[in-house]
Amino acid sequence: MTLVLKGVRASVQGVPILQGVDLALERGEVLALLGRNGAGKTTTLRTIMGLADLSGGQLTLDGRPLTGLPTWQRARNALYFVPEDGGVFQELTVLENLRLAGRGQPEQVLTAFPELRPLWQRRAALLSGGERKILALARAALSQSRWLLIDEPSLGLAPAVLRRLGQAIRDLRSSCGILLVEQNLHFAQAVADRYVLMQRGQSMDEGPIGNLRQSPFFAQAMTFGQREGDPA
Amino acid sequence: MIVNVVLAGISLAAFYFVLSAGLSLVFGIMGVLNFASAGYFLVGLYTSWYLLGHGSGFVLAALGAGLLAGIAALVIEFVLLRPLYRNPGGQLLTTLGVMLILSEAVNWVFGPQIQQEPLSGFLGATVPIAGLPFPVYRLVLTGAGVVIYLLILLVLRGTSLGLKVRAGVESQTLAELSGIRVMPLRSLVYAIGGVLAGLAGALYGPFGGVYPGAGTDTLLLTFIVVVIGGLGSVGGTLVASLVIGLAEALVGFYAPNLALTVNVLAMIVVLVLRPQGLLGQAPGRRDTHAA
Repeated sequence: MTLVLKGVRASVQGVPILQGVDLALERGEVLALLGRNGAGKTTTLRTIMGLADLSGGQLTLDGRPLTGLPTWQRARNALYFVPEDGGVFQELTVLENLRLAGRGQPEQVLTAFPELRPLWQRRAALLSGGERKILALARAALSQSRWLLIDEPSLGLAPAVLRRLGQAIRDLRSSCGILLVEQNLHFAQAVADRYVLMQRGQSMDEGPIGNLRQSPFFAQAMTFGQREGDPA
Repeated sequence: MIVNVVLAGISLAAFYFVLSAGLSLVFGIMGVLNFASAGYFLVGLYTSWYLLGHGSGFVLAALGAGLLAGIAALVIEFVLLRPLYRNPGGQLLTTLGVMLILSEAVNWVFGPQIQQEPLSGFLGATVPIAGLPFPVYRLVLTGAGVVIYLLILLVLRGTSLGLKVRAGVESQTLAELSGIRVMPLRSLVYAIGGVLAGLAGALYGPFGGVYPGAGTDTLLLTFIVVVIGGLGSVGGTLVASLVIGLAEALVGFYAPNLALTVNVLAMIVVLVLRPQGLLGQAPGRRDTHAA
């Protein structure tokens, strides 16, 4: 049961972004995709979901190629993408957002996400940033997808909310494999089991998250606040 | 007297709502202003006129008009618009072309003259309101608008299909990421837009006349209503229809030459103060997940 990318190349609106990405995600683990802004992390997630144009390499789910499948079919094939802004329908209520998420009854998520109960009938546009991220994870849990792709969940959140979010992601890990794009190194280290370092659209190195700082590419790939192409 | 003017304004608002609701929904899910709506309006107008002239009752004529316009819209969407899915500019020009072709086709088949569509029996009668005779048809028009609004509301708010349509209107990309197949929803909403435009055509005949230019004559007002209400918002379309209908009736009563000017001014004021329209989404909120 694996999501595999082998030498994946992809472009967005004709501009090549990914130049060769290799990774393998197993069920029951959190794999952190790390690198500077512009390294191609988000594009990797969007390519898996069919939102960027795959121009080379192999993309397989449990041995079957995803190539040619439209986004909605990938979503139904157990892949769930949580975009950077949370990926909830702002004009719909919390309950309606959950209804659209998938297979289970919305009430099922209240055990894992009790903070959503008083917000049930509230429009998502009126939620705080943290509540919206929690709703996005509740949608992911309800979708019963086997593979979750989560883009920058920690962005703009207070430390207390971040701890809650980290706990929710770890809880989700038991039922699926999670590919996590993250800029917050502490958060990534607290949540992930393994890492893949990316630079200039390529995967450079991978290993257990505890060995991240020993990676020969760590300093180069993790200089925060800079974009790819800026002088180091 | 003022009661009658207000009631006339409300009936006009009901007509504007039926005319504009489909356009607003279609914009919401496809992102293009559907000029072809004026063509489907003509299909409905001439279908109901033809059916009424051949002994049909008004309700049957209106339903026939909506059905034929809906089928026309479905065919146009499937044959002409679907191949241009990723080309909104091409879709816009195509809908403009469809409007022009349908207008010219109607002109060619039925001629340029204005046909009257006299109402008989109950629909052609008047009832006394505030001591003055008031056309029953105007009350029927208001009732039709209310029923159609409630039906749209019931489908959008009370069904799983409506929930998916609302999701698709907000963000097609996010809808697809949620496993929703958006393409059939687009076809369905486009056909419903055609049905509503056809029904509006059927409702227009008795008070506006039947002529090939009727589609383009009403198009400007449709755009004004949709822009004021907020593109993609059915609730906004209702509020804007009431504003425009009442303004047109009241201003038209006191200063008939200024009616259209007031409507355009209302649109300019709303665009300056609230560019997204009264109940529309703020700019940038629509489909932020697209590449």
